[in-house]
Amino acid sequence: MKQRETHAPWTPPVNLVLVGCGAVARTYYLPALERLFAGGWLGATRTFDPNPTRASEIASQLPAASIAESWDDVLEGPDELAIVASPPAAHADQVRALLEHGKHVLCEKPFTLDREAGERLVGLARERGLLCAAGMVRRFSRSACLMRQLLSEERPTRVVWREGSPFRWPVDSTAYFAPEAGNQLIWDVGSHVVDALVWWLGVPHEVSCRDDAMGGTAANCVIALEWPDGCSADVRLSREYDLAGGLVVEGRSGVNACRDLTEAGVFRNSTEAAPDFEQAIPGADAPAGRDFADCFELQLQNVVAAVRGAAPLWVPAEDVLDGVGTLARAQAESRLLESPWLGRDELETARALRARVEAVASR
Amino acid sequence: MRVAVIGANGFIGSRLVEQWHLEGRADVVPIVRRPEAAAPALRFELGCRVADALDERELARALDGCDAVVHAAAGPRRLVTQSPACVARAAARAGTGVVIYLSSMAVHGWHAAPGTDEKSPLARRHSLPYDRWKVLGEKALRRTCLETGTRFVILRPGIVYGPRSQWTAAFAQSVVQGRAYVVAGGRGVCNAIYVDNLVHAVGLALDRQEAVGETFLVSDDEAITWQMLYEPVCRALGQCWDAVADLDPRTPRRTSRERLLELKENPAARRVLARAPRALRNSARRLAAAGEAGLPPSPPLETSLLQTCDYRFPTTKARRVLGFEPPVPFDEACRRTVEWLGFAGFPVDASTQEAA
Repeated sequence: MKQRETHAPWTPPVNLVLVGCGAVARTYYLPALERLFAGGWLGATRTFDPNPTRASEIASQLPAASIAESWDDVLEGPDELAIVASPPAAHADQVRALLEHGKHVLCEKPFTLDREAGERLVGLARERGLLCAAGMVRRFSRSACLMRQLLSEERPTRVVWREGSPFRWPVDSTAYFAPEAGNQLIWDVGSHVVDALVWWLGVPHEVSCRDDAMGGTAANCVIALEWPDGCSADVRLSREYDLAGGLVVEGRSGVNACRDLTEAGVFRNSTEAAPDFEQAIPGADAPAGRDFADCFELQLQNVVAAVRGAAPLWVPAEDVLDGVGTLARAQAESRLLESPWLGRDELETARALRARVEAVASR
Repeated sequence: MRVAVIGANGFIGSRLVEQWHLEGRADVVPIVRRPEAAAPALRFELGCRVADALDERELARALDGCDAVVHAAAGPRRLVTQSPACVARAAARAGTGVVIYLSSMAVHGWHAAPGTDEKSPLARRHSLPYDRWKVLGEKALRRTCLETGTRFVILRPGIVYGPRSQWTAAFAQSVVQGRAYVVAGGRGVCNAIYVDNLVHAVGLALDRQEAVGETFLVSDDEAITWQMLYEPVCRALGQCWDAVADLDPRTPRRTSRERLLELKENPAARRVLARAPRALRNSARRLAAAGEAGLPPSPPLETSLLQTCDYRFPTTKARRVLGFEPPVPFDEACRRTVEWLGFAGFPVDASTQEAA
C-alpha cells in the first residue's frame, strides 16, 4: 500500500469555491482546507454564503481566500472545483448550476433528496466531462473499509445499528429544523448509516421507517431494511437520546461490531482488530483514514487529486444513488413512531397531526 | 393562553411542551438557550424561540406576546441562582402575566424536621450546593417579583421521575453496566412525583388566582420509597433487586464532582477557576467524572442524603388551594417510565414490558 502524500505531488494547486459557510463549513471544512492549503493542494479559495458575514468569517481564516459576492459571481468565477455545503434542499439546484458552468463538484451529504434528481446530475456531469463527487466521509474510514471486506467474505444474517445523542450540532438558527430545509434525521445521520449498509450489502428489497415528527422534524427514527437473501437491518437513530451500541453485525461465524465507524476499531467476536491496523480503500492502493479528521482530509485530497487527474474519484456521486434511493423510499413510507408514554388523548392528537402531514405530502 | 417554557429541551420542559401541545392545553412557546437544543420540541410545528435565561433583554424579547412563563431551566450554579430573578425582570418588561417557577423540595434539605411545610423558614446552610443554590434562586425570584410587581407561583416538587428523567436513566444505565446500588436498602422516603403530575400542578398554578404569590410542595399520592421507584427499572432490564448493591449510609463521602462543586462555592476559588485555561478546566471535569466509574465503596453524599430521607413532605396546601390530585397513579407512572426506557434504547425485555 502506498503511503499518504502530505504534500501535493503536482502543480499548480487547485482553486476552489466553498458554497455554504454554516456549521459544517466552520467545523469540518475550515480546518481541512487549512491543512490542504499548507500542503500545496489548494491555491486560491473563495467562500460564498447568502449571509456575507458567515462567508467573511471563513475567508478570514484561510490563506489566499476571498469572498464571492453573489451566486452569479460563484458561477462565473475562475474556480475549478466547488464544494457544496449548503442546506440539503438546495443541493440539487446548486450542483446543477455549477456543473452547467463547467465546475467540478464535491457535494456534502445528502447528495440529493431523491434518486431521480441525483441521476440527472450524474448524467449532466458525465455529459460535460466533469467530476461530481458525493461527500460520504465514512467511506474513507479504515473501520468502514474493513467491515466492507469482512461482509464481502461472509454475508451477515442480521445488522443492528444504534446511533444517537442529544443534538449538539452548532446550527445558526432553529430554521435548520424546518422540514423543507432537508435536515431531517433520516437525511442527516441516516445518510451515513444507510449509505454504508447499501455500500456493504447492496440495495435492500424491503424498506420501512417510523419517526416521531408530528408537524415538525423527527428527533427519533427507526428504519428496517431487508435483503433478498434474508439478511435484515434494524437501525435506530436519535437526536434526543444517547443510543449506545453502535453497529453490531451478526453472521454465521460470529459477530463483528464497531462503536463508531470513524473513531473506533472493529471487534470480531469481542476481540479488537489490532489498534493500529491499516486498511486499504477499496479499489485504491491507499490507506483509509484513522479518525474523523483524517477521513475528512483524505476525502478532500482525493477530490482535489482527481481534479488534477492524479487519482480516480473514490466516491463518485453515482455510487451513492442507491443509498439516496433507499432513504427516499424510507422517507416516503415513514409512519408515526408512537411515544408509549403519551396519554390516550395525546396519542390521538399525535396520530391526527401525523396524518395531516402525510396527507399533505401525498398530494 | 400563550405560555412560554424556559428550558423546553430539559426533562420537565420537554414533557410540558409535548403534553400541552398535544392536549391543546395552551399555545406553547418553547424557549431554549441554543438553536440546536430545539430539536426535541421541533418534532411539532411550534415557533421555538432562542434566548439565554441570564440575559434579561433577550429573554424579554422571547417572552413577547406570552401570557405566562414557566421557568423549568436547570443548569450550573449561576443559572440556578440568577436566572429566576432575570426571568422575573424579563417577564415584567415583556408584560407577561405570571411566572411559574419550578423550585425544589431540596430548599428544605433532605433531612427536614418533622412538620416542615411551605411556611417553614428556609435553612441558610445545606450540605449540598444545589440545595443552597435553589434557596438563593427562590429568594431572588420572590424579591424581584415583589419589586417589579410580577405575579408568581413557586412549585417545590421532590424527585421528578418518568420518561427522559435523569433519575430513571442514570439508574438504568448503572443497572446495564452492573454497578447499580442503593443506600440503606432503598427503604428511605423518596418524595417522588411523576412528571405528568408535576405538569398537572403547573396547569393548576396557572389557572387558580388564589395561587398567585404562593409556594406549594407537590408530590405523588403514594408513599414511595427508592426501592419502589427503582425496582421496576431493574426488572425491566432483566435484573433482580437483590443484585443491586446496598451501600452503608453511615460513611457518606463527597464525590470528585461534589468536591469540585463545593470548591466553586468559594468566590475566590471561582475567580481562580474562571482564569484557568479551558483545557485545564475540561481536564478537571473529566478527572472528576472518571473518579465516578465503577461501584463506589461508599455512597456519594447526595445519594446518601436523598436515600436516607425519613420525612414525607406534605402536599396539603397544594390540595387545598390548587385542588391538586395527581392524575397518574404510581403503577401507571412506572409502566410508562419502563416503556420509555425501551424507546430510549435501553435493553428492555419485551416480556417484562408487557407484564409491567
